[in-house]
Amino acid sequence: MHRLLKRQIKKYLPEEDLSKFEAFLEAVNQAYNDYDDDHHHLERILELSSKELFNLNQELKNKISLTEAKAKDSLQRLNEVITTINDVFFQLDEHNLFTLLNPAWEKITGFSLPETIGKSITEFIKFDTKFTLNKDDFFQQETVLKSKYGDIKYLEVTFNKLTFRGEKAGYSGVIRDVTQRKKDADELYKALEIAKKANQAKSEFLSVISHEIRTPLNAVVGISDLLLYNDPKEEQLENLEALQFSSKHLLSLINDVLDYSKMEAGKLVLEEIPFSLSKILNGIHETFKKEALEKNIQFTSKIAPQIPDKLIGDPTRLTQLLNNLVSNSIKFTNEGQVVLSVDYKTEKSGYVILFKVSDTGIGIPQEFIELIFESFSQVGIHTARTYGGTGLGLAIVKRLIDLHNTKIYVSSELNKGSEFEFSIYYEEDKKQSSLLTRTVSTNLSFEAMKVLVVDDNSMNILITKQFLKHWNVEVFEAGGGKEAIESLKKNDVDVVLLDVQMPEMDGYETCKTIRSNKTWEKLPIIAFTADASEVVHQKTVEAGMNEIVYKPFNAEDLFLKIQKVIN
Amino acid sequence: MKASSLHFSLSENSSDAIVNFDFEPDLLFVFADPEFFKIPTLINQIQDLYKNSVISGCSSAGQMVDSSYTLGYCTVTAVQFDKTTLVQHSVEIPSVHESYKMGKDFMRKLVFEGLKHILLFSEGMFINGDELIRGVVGELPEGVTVTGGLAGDNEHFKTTYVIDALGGFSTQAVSAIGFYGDSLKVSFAAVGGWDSFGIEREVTKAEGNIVFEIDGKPALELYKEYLGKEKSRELPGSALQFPISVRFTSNDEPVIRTHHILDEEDKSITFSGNVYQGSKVRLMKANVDRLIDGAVTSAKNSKKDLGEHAIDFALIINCIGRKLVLKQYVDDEMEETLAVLGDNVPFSGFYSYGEIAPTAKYTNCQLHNQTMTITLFSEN
Repeated sequence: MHRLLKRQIKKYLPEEDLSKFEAFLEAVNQAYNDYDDDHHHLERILELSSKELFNLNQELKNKISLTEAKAKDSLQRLNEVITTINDVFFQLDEHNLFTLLNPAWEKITGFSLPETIGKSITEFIKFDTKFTLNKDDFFQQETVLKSKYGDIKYLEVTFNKLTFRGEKAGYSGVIRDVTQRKKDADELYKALEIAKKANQAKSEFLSVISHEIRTPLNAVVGISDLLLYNDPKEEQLENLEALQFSSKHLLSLINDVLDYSKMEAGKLVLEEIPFSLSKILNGIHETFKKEALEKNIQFTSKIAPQIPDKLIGDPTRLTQLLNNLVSNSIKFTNEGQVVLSVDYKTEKSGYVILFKVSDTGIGIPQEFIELIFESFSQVGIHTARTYGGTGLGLAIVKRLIDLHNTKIYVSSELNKGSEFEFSIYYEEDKKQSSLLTRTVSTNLSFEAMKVLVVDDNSMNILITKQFLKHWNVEVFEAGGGKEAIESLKKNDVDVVLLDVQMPEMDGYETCKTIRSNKTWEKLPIIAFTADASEVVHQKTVEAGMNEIVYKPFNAEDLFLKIQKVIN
Repeated sequence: MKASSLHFSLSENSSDAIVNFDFEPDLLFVFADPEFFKIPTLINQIQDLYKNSVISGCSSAGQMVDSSYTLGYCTVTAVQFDKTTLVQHSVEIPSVHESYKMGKDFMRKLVFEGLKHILLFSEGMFINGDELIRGVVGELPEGVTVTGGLAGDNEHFKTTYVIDALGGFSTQAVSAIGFYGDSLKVSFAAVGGWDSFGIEREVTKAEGNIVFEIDGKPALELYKEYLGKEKSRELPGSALQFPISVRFTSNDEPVIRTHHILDEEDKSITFSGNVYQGSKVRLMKANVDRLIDGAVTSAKNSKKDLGEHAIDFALIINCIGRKLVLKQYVDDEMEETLAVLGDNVPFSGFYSYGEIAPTAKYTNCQLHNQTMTITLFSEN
């Protein structure tokens, strides 16, 4: 029975009445116990809930202080960043008035923050008329600002639209001072222009100098040829041959320089003319067979059988390519052999010709392979001293390979040898054009032939005259265009040899003037020039010249060209 | 509309007790102690006597004899309508998983034209009440209301019985009465009066009506901790005194759920209706005064919704959980409820394992626990 009820019964209910109230007391007892139960349960709930709430509260407090600390930390870091960055960070309200700026603004513009905040951005910065604020969400503008001290600042401004509950609430953005960048870019541009001009000047200088050197050198080569042609005495022969070799070598060095400067200036264009591959290969073989023999090494040409012969392309440049590679190999090979292998495969309407030059020479150290195609570079100073050369050979090869839109592959092993490989695509010459066939005869001669030689360089005239006289030709001379026309009027001439480059009246003008006279409409005129470019070739055709002979000329070539024009 | 009730105890002879009413009833409500259903003759006797009446009802967790809670009684209430017509259907629910489908199929048997209201009585142990109601309500045309309750078996929680449309009864049946006609007015309310306490917790693991974890802790452990050792020992019976309130989404009105099955093995609690994962729950505790206030509010709200129409008949479905808390106050609750409705208003009702009703006029019908659910009928 419930403790309280027991006490109450004891106090208020006589024992004899107990049985009378048994059921009632039972109900009261039950109610007392139920109340107690309920009370205990409530207490338990309260206790547990309080604990749980206390813990939750504690957890929440910890979370809040942690979050607050983090927020404070981030804010501080953000502030530090904003204060120290060189770019301006800004915010504009919906009327484009500054609401926030960092100290970078004052550094760049000179305007203090108090005098800027609350003013419109357009009071400080000029924007394009095309440009309208309030329109896009994100945009960037390059613009200018006049600083407080009057100097012009170039700025790059980035805008980012701010929205608050879907409504436009202004912009945030970044202003970057690009004044220095702009100045640097301008200076860089100027420097680039200067460099370009300097390079151009260098090329022009080289070109002029080479030409100037070449002219007298042509005379030296020509005279040494002439002297050898004139049946020299035994004791003179050796000296003359040395003279001829040295002058030709010097000439080829100068030609290299000239070619390279042309390539540098982008002035070299490949020709597309019919040529005979076998002739070029024969020429190379003939040229280097002797040289190899002198060095006591072997030079072999391995030409694939049935190699296509009649092709269209630039024979001069191919010759130059092979000349450079083979002479290089021979130069750097002291024992063993140099092999030129040529193979082909058909492709489209032409052939891909594969060239390979391999030697058993000194080889190239692995780390220099990349460098060998650089101009004026040879593998070490020692190499240049020992083997000579300008170092332009392979640089020219590389430029020519690039011009042909192809690639050259080099493999080499030190002291074992090197291998250069490249391929060029040539169209087949379907017209089977008959190339000049060289009739090699020792006794060349014309019958009753009259030739007018026009050149401003009297040495050139002298040499040419010497050859022509050998062929039984009557020679007339003229030092310029006007003089040539005068001479034509007086003399009945069969062929005119006309130098292209002359002061006052050049070869083209002279030719045009000659052609304007009906009498000389069909008079054979052969151009004399040292410039093998396509442009010059074109100009001679336009001016009405029948053929070209390149200086320094080969006597046989001159003979054949004259023979061709008079027929 | 006329209504009249009689009752008799297990010790009385039913054939003597079931006498003729002084009118021909259209509908008979029979709510009885489950023991009556173990004597199949009772329903047959009623059937034989009232061949033209719709007989509906179920076993209960306690009977309402006048305003008193009793056990071991059978109450029979006869109702005669002036114009309203009735249709009864019933269905067997083969398994708890088919609760939704059965509710749906079942409603398709009804003619919807002129349909006003549906009274639903369902087996109270295994049904998923939420799914059943979802199936039923989904099929019904707008404006048709549903109220009802789940059968009980005193406080045994073993087997409940529902009278079916064929004149028999079954432990797996759901029965529905459709009320047709414009002259009928129906109002209702379902109010609990329970207090929630402590923080709102989240159901973190649940499947259908089985809850495994709350706030990441085993559900049964959390529940027992708050119950205390004494009350835990009285489980599962004491669970009825400590329901939980559930909000399915943060905008929902909370509903009260009681526990049906407590599984010591996997520490899960099975509820009378769905408690989805992600639902917010709070533990609940009753206060005698507020429970009685809740019942009175339910009476007031249902009466108010009927407006000026006189209450011809009241159906009171009261949760057994309330009785377990109210104990000696149990009759106070009924007396105060009836005082609001009117002392002479004829009524019938039973102590249930669950109530079916919208909480108010324009809300969706839901399964409730721990409420006093009142349905008022008026005909003119």
